[in-house]
Amino acid sequence: MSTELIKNFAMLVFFLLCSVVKIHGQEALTLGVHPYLPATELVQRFTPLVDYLSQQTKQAVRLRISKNYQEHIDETGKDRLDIVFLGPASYVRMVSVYGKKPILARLEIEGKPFFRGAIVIREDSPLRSLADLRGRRFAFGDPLSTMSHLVPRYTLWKAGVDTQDLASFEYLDSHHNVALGVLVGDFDAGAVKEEVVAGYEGRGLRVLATTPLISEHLFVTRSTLPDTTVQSLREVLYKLDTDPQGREIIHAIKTTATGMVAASDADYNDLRNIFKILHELGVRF
Amino acid sequence: MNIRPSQRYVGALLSFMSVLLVFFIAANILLVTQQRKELLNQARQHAHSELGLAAAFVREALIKRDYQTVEQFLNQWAHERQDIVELKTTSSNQFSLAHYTRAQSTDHPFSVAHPVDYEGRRLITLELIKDFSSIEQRLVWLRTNLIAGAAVFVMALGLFLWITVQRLALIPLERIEAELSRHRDHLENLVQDRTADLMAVNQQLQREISERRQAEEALVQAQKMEAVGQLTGGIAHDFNNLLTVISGNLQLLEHLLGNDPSRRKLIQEASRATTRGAELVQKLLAFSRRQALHPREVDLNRLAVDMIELLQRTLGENIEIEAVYSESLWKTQVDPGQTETALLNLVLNARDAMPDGGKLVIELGNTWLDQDYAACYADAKPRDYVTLAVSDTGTGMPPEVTEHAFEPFFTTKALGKGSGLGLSMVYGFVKQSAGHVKIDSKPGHGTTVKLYLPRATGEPAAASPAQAKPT
Repeated sequence: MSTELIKNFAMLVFFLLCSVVKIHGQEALTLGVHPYLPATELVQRFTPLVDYLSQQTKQAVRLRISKNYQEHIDETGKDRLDIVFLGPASYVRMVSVYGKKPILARLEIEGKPFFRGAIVIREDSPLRSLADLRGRRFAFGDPLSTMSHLVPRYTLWKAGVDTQDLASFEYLDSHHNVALGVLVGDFDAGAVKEEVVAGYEGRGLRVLATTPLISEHLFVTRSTLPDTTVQSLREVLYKLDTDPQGREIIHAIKTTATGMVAASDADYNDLRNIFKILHELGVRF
Repeated sequence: MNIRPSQRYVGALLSFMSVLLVFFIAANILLVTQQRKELLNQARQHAHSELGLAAAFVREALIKRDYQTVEQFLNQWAHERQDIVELKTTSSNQFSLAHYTRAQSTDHPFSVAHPVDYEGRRLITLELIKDFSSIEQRLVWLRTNLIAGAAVFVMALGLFLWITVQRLALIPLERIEAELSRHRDHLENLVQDRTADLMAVNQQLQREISERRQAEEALVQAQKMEAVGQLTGGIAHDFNNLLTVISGNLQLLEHLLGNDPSRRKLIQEASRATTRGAELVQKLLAFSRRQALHPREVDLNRLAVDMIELLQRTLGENIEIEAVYSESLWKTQVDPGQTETALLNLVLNARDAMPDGGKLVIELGNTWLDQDYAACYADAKPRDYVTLAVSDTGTGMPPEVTEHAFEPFFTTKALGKGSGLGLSMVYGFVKQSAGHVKIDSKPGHGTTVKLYLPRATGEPAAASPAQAKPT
């Protein structure tokens, strides 16, 4: 084979590779999700949405699971993610640090775009009120978690129970760890999202108290994403509940979710107030 | 029943194979049972070490309060491991952190447990129930194959032994036995032949002894009769001479006495007595074979036919007479008159033996007396004879009477009824004619007297050597 022929073949392969990279490099969108569940489960839950968005926007969409909540906030704030699924606490913190981002939509759970947390104990526990938690061992989830730490901690404060009143408290990272830690008996009570409680039905978990309603999880985009793209994404998300495929996508993200609705930054002011109180109490997050 | 050695040893070989097979099966069962125990222990140890590894991981996670990971890991681990039937994770407050139960149950479960402690506190207890079915199945397969293998081995061994034993021992043994059998049969045949020969010899000996005894008896009888005959003949000859003198003198004396009736009567009485004495002498001479005979060729058929009417009258109405003639009867060389006298004497004796009537048969025939017969009867010679037999259905005689029947003056008749010289005359006549006489009698079955008269040779018979003539 002559040297000329090899040179021509190498050039052909180079141009072909460049064209592929160009297509995906310029038009692929990244959908970031914070690690509120195991990564495999998150991939399973969000893959239908990713595929659907790719199909509807005619743009490739990739899923990315952040390593932790802080990285997720930072990546979002620095516009390194095109589309971002955020918890309410993360959104508030991200805005406070990096400023507002275009909001696409927020989740609607059983027709309501709110959710709340629960203080759980074992069924056989003698505890009857939040005040009884004094001197007890308490389990929180991630320190940055809305419903497994921040809002429940506010709720405890409202009930007159500060962490100093507890015998001990630990951060167990996830809602499930909190539920299981209580059930195993390592903790007398713990804070989880209300929907997590339903998953432990029949295993001996009981709700001692609930937190105030907080605006649901939301999707935002990076600031630099073209308006047309943002608009088209909003339209796609809003219409998800109008057809069976869309409803399946929503159910995949959360079994109790019924749709996605429009949201504004003001919907998260209640949470900002709670955070403000917590800051005043000296809670650092 | 002759059973071949190979057939006899089939049972023994089958018994040996059966015992060997039972032994192999028992050994296999023992081996498999031991193997099962060992495999179960290994499985337990393996499960325990496996559970230990899981427990180490669980302990690490629980120390870090990562309950969710523990739950997910244990459930997924149990799900992936097909041999895990059930996995239970029980905390100190009896909460089941992870509990996996496989849908398919097992008939061969075994369980191991492993506690997870931390700082002297029981965090959790792991209990694993595993399935031993696959090992059981392998053991069943092993047992089945071992038994099948043992059966095949035993059959192969049996076949090998059978072929080997048959080639090395049974076939030669069969040959030896067959050879022995042949020798035995041959020996038995020899013994049988020898026995048969001995029996034949014995019979021959018995027969010869019997014949010899008979011949001896016949000889004694013949000698006795000869002696009696000589004595009788001598006496009769001398007495005949005396009677001749007496008779001549009586005739002279009768002439001398004239016509004196009383004296003549005395002379006549004496003359009649001498006449009867002369007749008696004739009879005695006949017995002693010294009578004058005039032999010539005689057709006994004719002689019998001519006499039959006379004989019938002699016998009377109570006795039936039957004559059996022979168409090809040879001529005999005898004195016809004496033959008639002899026949008459025989018929008279038969009549006397049948006082209440009966049947008398006169039978004529040709016969040949051989050497054997002649050996038994000294007076018989091997030659052709014409036979004249007179049989009656009378009282018959016992042997002791028959033995003396031909002796002169021997009679069983009442006093005055018989002279005792009839059969003696017949005997003397036949013997003097070179013949032979035989008497067969049995009490209650009648008597047969058979005369063997010599067949005529066509030449005039020689004159009687001892014709007794009164001198």
